[in-house]
Amino acid sequence: MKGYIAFTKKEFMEYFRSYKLLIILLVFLLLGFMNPISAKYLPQLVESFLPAGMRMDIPEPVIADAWTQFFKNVPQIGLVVMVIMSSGVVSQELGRGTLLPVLTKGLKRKAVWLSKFTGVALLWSIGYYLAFAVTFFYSFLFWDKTTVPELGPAIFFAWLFGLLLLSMVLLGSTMSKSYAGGLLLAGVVVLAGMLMSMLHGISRYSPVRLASENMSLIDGTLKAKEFLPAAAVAAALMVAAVLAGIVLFDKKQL
Amino acid sequence: MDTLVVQGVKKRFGQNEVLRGVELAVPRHSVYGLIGQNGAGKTTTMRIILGLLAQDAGEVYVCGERVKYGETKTNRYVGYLPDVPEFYGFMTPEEYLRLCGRISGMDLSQIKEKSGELLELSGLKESRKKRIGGFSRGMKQRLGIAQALLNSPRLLICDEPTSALDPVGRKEILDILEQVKEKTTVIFSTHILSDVERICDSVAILNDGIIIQDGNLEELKTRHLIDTMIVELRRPDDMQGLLKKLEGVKVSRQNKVSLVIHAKDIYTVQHRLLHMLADGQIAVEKLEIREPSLENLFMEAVK
Amino acid sequence: MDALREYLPVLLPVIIIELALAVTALVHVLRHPRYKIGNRVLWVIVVLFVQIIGPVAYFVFGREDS
Repeated sequence: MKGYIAFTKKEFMEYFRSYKLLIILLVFLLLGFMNPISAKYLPQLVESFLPAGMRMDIPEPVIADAWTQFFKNVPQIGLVVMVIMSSGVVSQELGRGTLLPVLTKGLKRKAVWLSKFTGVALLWSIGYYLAFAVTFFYSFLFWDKTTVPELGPAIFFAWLFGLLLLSMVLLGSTMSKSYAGGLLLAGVVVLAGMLMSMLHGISRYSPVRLASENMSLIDGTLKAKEFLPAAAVAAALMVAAVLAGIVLFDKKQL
Repeated sequence: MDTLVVQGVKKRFGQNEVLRGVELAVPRHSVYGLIGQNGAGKTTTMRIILGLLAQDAGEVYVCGERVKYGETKTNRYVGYLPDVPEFYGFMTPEEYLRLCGRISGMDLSQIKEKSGELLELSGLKESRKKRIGGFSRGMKQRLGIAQALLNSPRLLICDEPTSALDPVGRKEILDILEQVKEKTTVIFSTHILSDVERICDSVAILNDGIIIQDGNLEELKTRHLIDTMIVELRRPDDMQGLLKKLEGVKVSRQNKVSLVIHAKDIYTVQHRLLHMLADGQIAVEKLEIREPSLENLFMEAVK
Repeated sequence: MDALREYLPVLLPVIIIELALAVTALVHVLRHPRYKIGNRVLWVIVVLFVQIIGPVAYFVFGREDS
């Protein structure tokens, strides 16, 4: 346990000193600001650039538009940045041999892998909820009516999808010697999820739904409990990825 | 009691039999040199001692406890310096030692005291707040020793600690190892024989996966036969005549003025030679019975 | 001009963050002579002219590990 805490601290020192933390904070902060701003002002901007004489019926922007932007940007651009950042975290340590001294000092291999996962999961959570908080409070300034239905579940599901993807990145990074492993496995999972979504019978189990259909929750067409099968699948897959990662990592000859 | 005992350890990688029954007994407070050519099995032996690799047969005991593959408890007695140690470049030596200390379960005041002491010993006190990323190889090697000694190990294992270094860096490492031998048993592998002669009191020669010679360095040398004499003449002209007189003795000529004589009973030959030199009024620059060096020993052993 | 005056307060945080990213990356590029891939000129251009993604790409792919 002491080793796990010490190594997790080391992970965060690394994020801080290698600028990873800074980038994640700035990118998610930016995404957070952009959502309400583009929802509120983009229509006006479009209007002012329309050629004279042409008229377009642009509906008055509402707060739901800010959340549309949120779910378009954060689980995509934000998550892609996060995935790229964490694609080498296990393979790099294995490749460089930096683990040899700490492992012979008695650090458990499990602790190493769990520290890595804790690190990326926390980094994702910090970024994600930072973007959420900024969007939430900025929207508060722009609109009078600020409540939307099922915001909580919608936010939670996209976050869960992010965790699933990151666990896959780490598993891929444990299996391969380069950055590519993590990216590849995450890509495969997304692709498989998209395929599942297309097949009528099993589409409700596809984890990809968690990050792609959040607006149906906000505009009230779907209820949170209809997402539960997908959430269960995502959680199960994530736990499986973590266990597989630990087992694989344990077997690595150093 | 011996600090480290290795009994009949065998290991194969695929078709390649790397260790064929290694036997070692390292007494307490000795500096033990494990000598061998590249590929002789030195690193494999060390990794098995550390529980990083599983042996196919045989047992290893550290301080009387059996080593198990994986997370072996015996590692609490051991400090390990890998051949090319790699650290986190974004950390400073101080921070790195703190991390290692926390991992091995030391409390903060203990870590502070011990790491201060070790940074001093390894000559990194000035650089203790600089990032490791900018360190030279020698500095990293010294930090590696500090890291290995942090938990006051009873056995310090160094894998080729000097091989990748320049002469200055090598001397620094050897000086450190010489200092720590009062407190801990040191075993280090190398193929640089002069390093062994400088600091080791016992050696084992590993060749082709088996220990072919081992024991106290001085004893090994005396056990070895003294059979070589070097003669250097003043004038090249005298050479021909002398060679003729020495017929029947095993002689190899080095150059115009010097020759090497091999004989089982080298002192009798020396006696005869002195007569010849006196009779022929041959001027001699040098006459030397060669002490067996580790190099001879090694060359002969691996032949 | 009016449009600019109207939008500026709203866009200010966005501009500040983008500048912060670009400047941090630029300082890092100029202070370090070696990169994992690419050279200094390339990274200066990328960092300054490709918004957001430029600095991110530099820190992930260009920055030499210390």
